Amino acid sequence: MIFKILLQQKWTLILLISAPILFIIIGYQFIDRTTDDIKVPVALVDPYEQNITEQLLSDMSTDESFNITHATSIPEEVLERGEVEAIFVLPEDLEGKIRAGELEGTIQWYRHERSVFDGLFKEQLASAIMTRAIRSEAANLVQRYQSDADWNEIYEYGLRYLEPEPIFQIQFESVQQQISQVNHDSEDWLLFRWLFWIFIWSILAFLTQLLLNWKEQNIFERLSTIGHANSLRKAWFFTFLVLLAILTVFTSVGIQTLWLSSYNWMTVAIDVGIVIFSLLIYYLLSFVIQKRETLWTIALTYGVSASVVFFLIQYNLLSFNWWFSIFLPSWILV
Amino acid sequence: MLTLENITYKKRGQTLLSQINGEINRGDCVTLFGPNGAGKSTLIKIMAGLVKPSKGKRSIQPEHKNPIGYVPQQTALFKGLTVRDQIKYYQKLTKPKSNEFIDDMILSLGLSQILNKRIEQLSGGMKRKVNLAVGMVHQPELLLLDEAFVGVDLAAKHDMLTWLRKLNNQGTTIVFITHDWYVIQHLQPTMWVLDHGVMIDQVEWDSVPYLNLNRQSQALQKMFDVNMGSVR
Repeated sequence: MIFKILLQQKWTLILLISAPILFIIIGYQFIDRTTDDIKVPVALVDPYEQNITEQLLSDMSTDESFNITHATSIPEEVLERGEVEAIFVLPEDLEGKIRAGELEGTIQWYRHERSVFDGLFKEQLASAIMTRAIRSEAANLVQRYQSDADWNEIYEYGLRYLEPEPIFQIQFESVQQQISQVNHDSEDWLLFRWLFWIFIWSILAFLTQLLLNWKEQNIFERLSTIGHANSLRKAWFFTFLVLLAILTVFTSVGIQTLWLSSYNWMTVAIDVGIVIFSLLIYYLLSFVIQKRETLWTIALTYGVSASVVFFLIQYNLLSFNWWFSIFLPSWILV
Repeated sequence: MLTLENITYKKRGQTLLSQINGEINRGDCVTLFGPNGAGKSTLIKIMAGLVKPSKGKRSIQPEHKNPIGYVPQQTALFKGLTVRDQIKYYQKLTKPKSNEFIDDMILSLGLSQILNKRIEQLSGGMKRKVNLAVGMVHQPELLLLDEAFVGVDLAAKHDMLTWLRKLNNQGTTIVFITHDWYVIQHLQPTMWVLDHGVMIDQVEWDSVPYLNLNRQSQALQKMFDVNMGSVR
């Protein structure tokens, strides 16, 4: 019967069913965005729209460590706001300068005091230009001694003998992986479990309203006269116990798999435990609370207090005490 | 069947009922009559066993399990469920003796046409009928109705009263609260007249004109005057 009534609460039902899907989609987007964030954002500005810029970008495209914005102009505020780590501005007739070997001070490199990894891009860019400069130098040398040789042909094949290496190389990929792993373990994963608890806590407040409505309508009184005072309350409790436990298992396993590529049953058990205790709190409250306003005040006060305690412990502003266990989200940090 | 001995009920230091005595036998029809605040709803809840008296004793001698049918003032029905589902739910809980009784009830109260409708889709009068029906699904020996006829149109009221009269004639004990003289005339009950938590008198409904109300509140006097007009 509870299911039949629940079927009429369309929005609650939609939210309940869509919760795991929603959390996994949000989680996936979050991970995707995080991956973008750890790419070094740089801007390559070519005010003269030269062909060589495209070639340079193509040479560097194999390195996915950079998020390169290619433009003909870019405001310096972008750099100040930290949207890019550095701006590299190419000079006019870059190709001519490369062929002539006039490379000193040709590229302007704008950076911020907070810029860290832009030096790596500078090396990549320098390497791409130097490759061309050396091939050009090789072609110039050959043509000096063999005037009938085709400059373009020598330039094309010059790298067979003179491939330069970047000045220094770093295992950028492994640094990225390390950052990503630490981030997910310590913050994002816990944050998402807290977020899921907030969702369940709010949904339960809605579902508890059913009990308050039945109380207000004297349904419990009527049931009491036929010796079934608590049967409806128990049906409510066990129906949502099963429903929410299944929902939590799916969500917990889904998010763990997404974040950590595997799942731990102990973590799933803790998540299910938190949800069951939340349900129990509302179940017990339904005996003493008469008004919806009181229910929402308690739900809001506890939800906010528990979240504050969770974040204070999470960011080491509060050391964990056993009595913090009364705030359910703190169990996530165990 | 139901005996009340010196029932007193106090709440937050206020005496809502004082020294109520009375006996209701099988097949009786009784109305609790009096102005607002007289203690009628509290008394019917004490009869139903929903409220425990501060002093005194309420005793009931039932013949079967689940002897009481309680129809509260509000329509105590589940939103979102059809009339059929509501009846089935109580049927499942109480396991009534005969389905024939339920079929007869549905027919007599004119519920056949609305069995598949959800409660929200029903008019106020229809809701009241369903409210009455679910209170009687288990064929109770004692039916307690707390203002069950409020907001019911005459046609619906007629159906309800005819059914109740039939049940009463078959031996079901009925106790009800109403301010509606039409209901009283139809069911012809014994009236327990209450005022300020005190039992004024227990009289047959047609003896009311001879009641001496000189020492009672104006509200109670006015109730009788308005309801009976020239009779008094």
